[in-house]
Amino acid sequence: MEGVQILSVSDLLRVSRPLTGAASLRSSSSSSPPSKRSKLQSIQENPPDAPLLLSDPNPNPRIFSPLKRPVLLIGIIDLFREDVDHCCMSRNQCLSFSDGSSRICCSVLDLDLEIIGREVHVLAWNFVPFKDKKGGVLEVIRWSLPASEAALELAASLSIPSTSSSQDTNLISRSRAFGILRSISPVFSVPCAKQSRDQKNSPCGNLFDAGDSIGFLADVLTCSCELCCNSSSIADCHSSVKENTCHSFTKSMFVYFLTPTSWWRPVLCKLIGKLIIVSGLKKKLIFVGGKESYVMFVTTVKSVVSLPQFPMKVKPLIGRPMSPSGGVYKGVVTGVYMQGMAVELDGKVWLLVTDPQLAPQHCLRVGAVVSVQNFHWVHPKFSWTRMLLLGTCTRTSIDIESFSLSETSCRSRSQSQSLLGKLIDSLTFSARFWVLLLISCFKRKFAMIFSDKEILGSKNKEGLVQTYASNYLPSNAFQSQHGMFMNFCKHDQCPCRSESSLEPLKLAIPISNFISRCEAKWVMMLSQKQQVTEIVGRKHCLDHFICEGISNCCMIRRIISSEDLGFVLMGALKVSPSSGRLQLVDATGSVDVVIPDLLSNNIDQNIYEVKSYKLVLEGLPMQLDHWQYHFDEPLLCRNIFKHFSYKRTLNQLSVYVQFYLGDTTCLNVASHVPSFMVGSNNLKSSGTEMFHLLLVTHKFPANDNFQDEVMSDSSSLFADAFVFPYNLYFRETNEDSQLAEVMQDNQKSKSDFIDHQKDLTEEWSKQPRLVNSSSRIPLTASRNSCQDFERRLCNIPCSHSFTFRRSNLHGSLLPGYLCSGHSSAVQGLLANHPASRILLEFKSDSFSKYQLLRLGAYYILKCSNKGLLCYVEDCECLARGKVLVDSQTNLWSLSFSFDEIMQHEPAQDNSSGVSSVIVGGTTSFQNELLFLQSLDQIQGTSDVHLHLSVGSTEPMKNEMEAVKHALTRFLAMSGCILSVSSCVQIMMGELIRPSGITDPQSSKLLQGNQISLNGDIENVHMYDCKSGSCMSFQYVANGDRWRVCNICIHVNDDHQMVRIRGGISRCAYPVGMGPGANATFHRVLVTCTSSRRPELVLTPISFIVINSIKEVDCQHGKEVFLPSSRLSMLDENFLNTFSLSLISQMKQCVDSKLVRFRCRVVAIHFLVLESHPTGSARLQSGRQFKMPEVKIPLAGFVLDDGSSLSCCWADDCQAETLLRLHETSCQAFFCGHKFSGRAGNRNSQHTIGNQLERILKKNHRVIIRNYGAVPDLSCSDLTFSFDSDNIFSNSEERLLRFIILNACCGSILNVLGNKLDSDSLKQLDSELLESQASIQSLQNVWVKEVWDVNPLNEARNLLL
Amino acid sequence: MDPIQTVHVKLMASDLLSSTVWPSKPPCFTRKGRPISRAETVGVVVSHERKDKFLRFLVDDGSGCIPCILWLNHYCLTSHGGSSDLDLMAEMTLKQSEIVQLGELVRVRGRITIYRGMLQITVRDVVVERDPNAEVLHWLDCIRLAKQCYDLLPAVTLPRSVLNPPQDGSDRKIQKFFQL
Repeated sequence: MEGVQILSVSDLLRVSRPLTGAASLRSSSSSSPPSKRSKLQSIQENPPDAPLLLSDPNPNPRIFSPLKRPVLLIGIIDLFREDVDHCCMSRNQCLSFSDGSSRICCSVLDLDLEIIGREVHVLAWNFVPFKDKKGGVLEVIRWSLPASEAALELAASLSIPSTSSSQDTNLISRSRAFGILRSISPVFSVPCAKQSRDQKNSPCGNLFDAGDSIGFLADVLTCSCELCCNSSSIADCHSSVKENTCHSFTKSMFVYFLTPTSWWRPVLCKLIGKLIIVSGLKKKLIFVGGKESYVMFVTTVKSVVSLPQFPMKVKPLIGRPMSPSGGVYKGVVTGVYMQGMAVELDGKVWLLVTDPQLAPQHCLRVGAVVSVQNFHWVHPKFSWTRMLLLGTCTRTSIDIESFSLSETSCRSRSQSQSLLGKLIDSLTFSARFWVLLLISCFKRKFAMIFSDKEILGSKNKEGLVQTYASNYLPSNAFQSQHGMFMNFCKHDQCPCRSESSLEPLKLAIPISNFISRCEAKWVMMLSQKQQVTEIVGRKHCLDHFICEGISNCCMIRRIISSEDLGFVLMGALKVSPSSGRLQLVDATGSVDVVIPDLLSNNIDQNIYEVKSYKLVLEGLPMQLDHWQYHFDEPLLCRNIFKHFSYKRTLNQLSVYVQFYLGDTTCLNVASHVPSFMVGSNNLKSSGTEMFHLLLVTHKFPANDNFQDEVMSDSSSLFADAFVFPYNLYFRETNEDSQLAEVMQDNQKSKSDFIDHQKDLTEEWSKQPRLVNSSSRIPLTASRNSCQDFERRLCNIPCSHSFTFRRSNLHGSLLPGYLCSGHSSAVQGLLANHPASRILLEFKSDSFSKYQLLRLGAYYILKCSNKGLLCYVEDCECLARGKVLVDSQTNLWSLSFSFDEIMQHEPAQDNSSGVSSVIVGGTTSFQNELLFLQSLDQIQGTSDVHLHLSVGSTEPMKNEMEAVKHALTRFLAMSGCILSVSSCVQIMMGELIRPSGITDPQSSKLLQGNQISLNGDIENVHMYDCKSGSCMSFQYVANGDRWRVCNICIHVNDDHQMVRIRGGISRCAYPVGMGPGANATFHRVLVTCTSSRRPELVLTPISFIVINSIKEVDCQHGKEVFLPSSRLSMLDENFLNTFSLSLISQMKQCVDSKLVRFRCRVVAIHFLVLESHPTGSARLQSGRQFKMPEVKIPLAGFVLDDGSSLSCCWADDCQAETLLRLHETSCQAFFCGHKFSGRAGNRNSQHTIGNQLERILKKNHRVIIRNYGAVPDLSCSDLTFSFDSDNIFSNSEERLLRFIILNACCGSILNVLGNKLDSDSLKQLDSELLESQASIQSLQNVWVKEVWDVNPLNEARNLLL
Repeated sequence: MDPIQTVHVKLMASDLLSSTVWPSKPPCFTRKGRPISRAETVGVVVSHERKDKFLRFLVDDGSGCIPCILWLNHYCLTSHGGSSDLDLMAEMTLKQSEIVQLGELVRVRGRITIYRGMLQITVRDVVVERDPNAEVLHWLDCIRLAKQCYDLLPAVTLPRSVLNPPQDGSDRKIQKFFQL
């Protein structure tokens, strides 16, 4: 030990930082001769005389500082014999180490009984200071006895020092226990009241403390062989071992180690599994719970614990299988959470420490190797994950087998006496672990919303966790609690049995974990899809469709039920100020939500628990690099316990959740009265209030700069509404004076109603009424009213009542006052009364109100007029035709119900032959999610529900009919919504108009009618963007990379398809818009393109509402080529209705008549190709093929239908189709020698499309003329001219020749066109027709549409 | 000039094969007195004979079989100083010949010619029809065209132009090549 420095305990405490040291270390100076410089440096840093522990001026408290010189600790390892705990663990786990200077806790790896109470040399050790720096724990890795001590051969035993009272020696203590120590309990105390009787009767009563009896139980398996039974002393035991007889230790014996022997527990817990001899015991019968009794052996002052001196044969323990209890688990601690209650072992197994006294808390750190004995292993029924849980009980022992050097903080868990702690103690293992997870989740979810005290509760008040858990957990998750005696002795009655009967538990996970889980699921889903594709042997081509020559990737949408996910969502509802979308938020993140039955636009701060929901994942089927997307499984318990760092990685994925508000549970209802009903601006603040009834007919979409307006005070959020010709009144008092005055006034002015008043007064005293404000009919008396807010779980369909609903909070106002006038007059006035239209302007601070406003729903708006007489024409708040809605303004949703079921008949305009559709589904199909529930179905979720019952009298019936009539009329006035087929008919009206070559000037202004349209979205893609940079569709869904973009939406119904194009702002882009969605497009403009083609355009006031969505899964490897020229809005069925004709018969037709003929391309005599002017619509890249960006301003084709040839002129899409460009552009074309017409080599730059683009990029414009004989196929007479001065290479010429030749080898096509009149012909450049006399004699036709032939349909049509 | 002389008439095989052949050079064909020079047919390939220079096949449209010949000898012309246009056509023709398989439903159009006294179609292009209903539609078109167009005009004397029809350059070259 030369050169070894001896450290004292006080030195360690003084430094108070993590240290590790060993006596066998060689000093750096002696190990190898360092260089001169480093030696000097070393001496300066660690001079031999310098204090060893002060060398590091800036110690890092998180790592163990290794001492660079050999050090030795010399001291006495002993038990804590004081009554006062040195630390919280001293009774159960800690030994003490003292060297005269100080005393600290100590833990020894290979503890030997002989070192207890003796001086040892600690050769290798760690020191971990406590957080309060008032102590620490010494972890002894290696020790040795000094030579002087080793020479003394002392018996390895534990005994009470001889200083005990001499009278104890007289006690009868002949019993002894010889066997294997199976398990021990933690030290516990029995209240003195219970032991007083024993104390009196017991001869060893004076052994106990004056207060509670403190001790622990040990279970010793003894041998019942003759030799062991007959041994009466320790010597006999030793001799029985020496006899080398094979013993069988199967008989359980309980030994109660009472104080002062309870001090021995830290030593005995190291002897578990070993053969021990406990002598000096006294046999006693102990009653537990007054019913059951156990024979126990109680220690006395004479008790001695010793180990057998000779090794002996022991039969292996039988009848103690690993399952469900018993056994040993050894593992590395990989995580310690929840104050040491949840310990992760080996990254996969969880140890649930039910009692802090069981675990060596000081040493149970990450990196330590522990062995756990006598545990219960449980497979908790958690619906979101599978795991193995090691549950501890009173018999469990956790021993450290290797200390940790990777973590330096000692945990100390206080014995919690809170209500939550008691709840946890009363639960089964699964439920207990679930609550720990729940606590962690809640603390993270509500970090900024609630304080820890509100979440966890206190000694006297339940916290959020406890309230939730108590309601959530089933009764069998709770187990009866027993005392320590019962738990220890009845250990065999396994508490795990109740686990199996538990229903799977779901967890309210933080939203960040949820989103991450969704991303992981998406990646997994796509990778599986890829694998399947690879197995099948398909190519890695992405599914896409082509519109306007641009390839677009098909979207995938998956709908996953909450049942399959296994966790619940929880959070507050909020409208995102950035995206404008409704979200469920917690402190960790947010997720977009869709709530079909949300009618109220007054969302609050309540916490909603959503158990039943549907998760929607939608995005593009991108090729994934598995290594790029590596997700640490976000639902692992480890990631729930610890701070889970999360960052969205998948931009192309859109995640949202659909659920019904009616299925949610509200956690923190602050008051039984809805918040909007209290305060200054509420319904009950004054005696009488009047409300206008508004029917929202349109919402003008929020533009992209609404965020900027938050700072300014302006607003650009508007909605259109009709004012219903009735006002709604509330009264809460019996005072009728005001009403009486009003009545008198009106009686004077409206004498013709006086007679009617009597009858009505009687009726009004019973019924709620509506008053027709426009007819200026007087109000009348009312009956008593009261306000009675009741908390009910469902809407109460009582008549005469207004039902207020806020989530699960309902209240009723009884009664409301509605007044009416003469019914016949009302009806007459209503019939002719023009609907008053008002504009709702939303201030920027009421953005959420705007977002939640629903089209077609009724709302009530409080009138500023305090009087009862308020007419729409005169009312101040409606005078300017505009109502300002700010944060103080409340718009409460209103629903009606009648005694009779009212049939809302959709208005039909039969004259135009256009049918309207009813929006808002009533039933959902499989894998279909409703986004909007029909208003009839969600009456109960509106803020105010008005139930009107038909009165018994005739006037009442008339009045009710008037109201119904008004409702129906308003619905009709709000505008009908067309189906796609109806829309196509309207558009055909535009198409059939005679046209020729269009004046380009006239197409600059958008003109046309506005329509509303409902249909299924087939595809959505972008065709241009204004963000400056090109973006792909993947960003549309998330909306974080763009503000305004131009999109093209393909909408169809069962028969027809239309295309809607136009710009849309990020805020107006609804959740779920994409293939498989049913949507309503409000106020879409029907206009014509420059080529006189009718089209639908999204304007800045167009508003899109998604009604429902379906799952979408494109078939991998399938390519969908939509003929780019196809007039996508017009289905072939419709086009086929045009009469089929022959070209030879066209001479007899008038110029404007559209004629269809079935023909083939024979030759191309004129073709102009230009590079596309926009050039920025390139989407995607890499593998994906796309149509070339080519513009065809004009092309002349010779068509042959078998009767005659004709010269057909076409441009743009029609020309592309006739040219078969959509078929050829994906083919490879090698300009050198041979070409390959295979479409497979999509990745190549040699595709015809690419090469054509290149040619046009270089030459900008190419004009091709054919001077050959008309009906024959030849390219020999083609001439090429182009704008630029570049040289037109042979290969380029060859490509163009190929395109033209190929176009002449196609199959039959349908062509719709009209004869070109002489004026239109003149507009064609005369040069075009120069020297082409052969075609001048042909019939000239302007091609309107080209589409493929459906032989079956057309054959049928011919036969009909 | 009769407009149907320049179009590919859609005639059933039985109808086409019964056309009158006028022994001129090259021979002319009339149907009910109206001159025809090109034809289109849709039917199933029932015979297939492939040689280096040509592909001969029979198209059965249900009423009869029309012999068709697709010349594949454009490369011979190019090697003898033909244009790149011929080269391209040669490749395209070769590709078309690959799609003509026994049992395929094809749409063939080309010039009406005569070989060893039998009428045939010298194929200009051939397309494989994926939809079997295309054949039925072709039948109906044949009937419709016959009713509405081919049968309408009374038989006229053969005009001079019919007797000396304009010939396509490439075809003429091919013919000459064979006559060499």
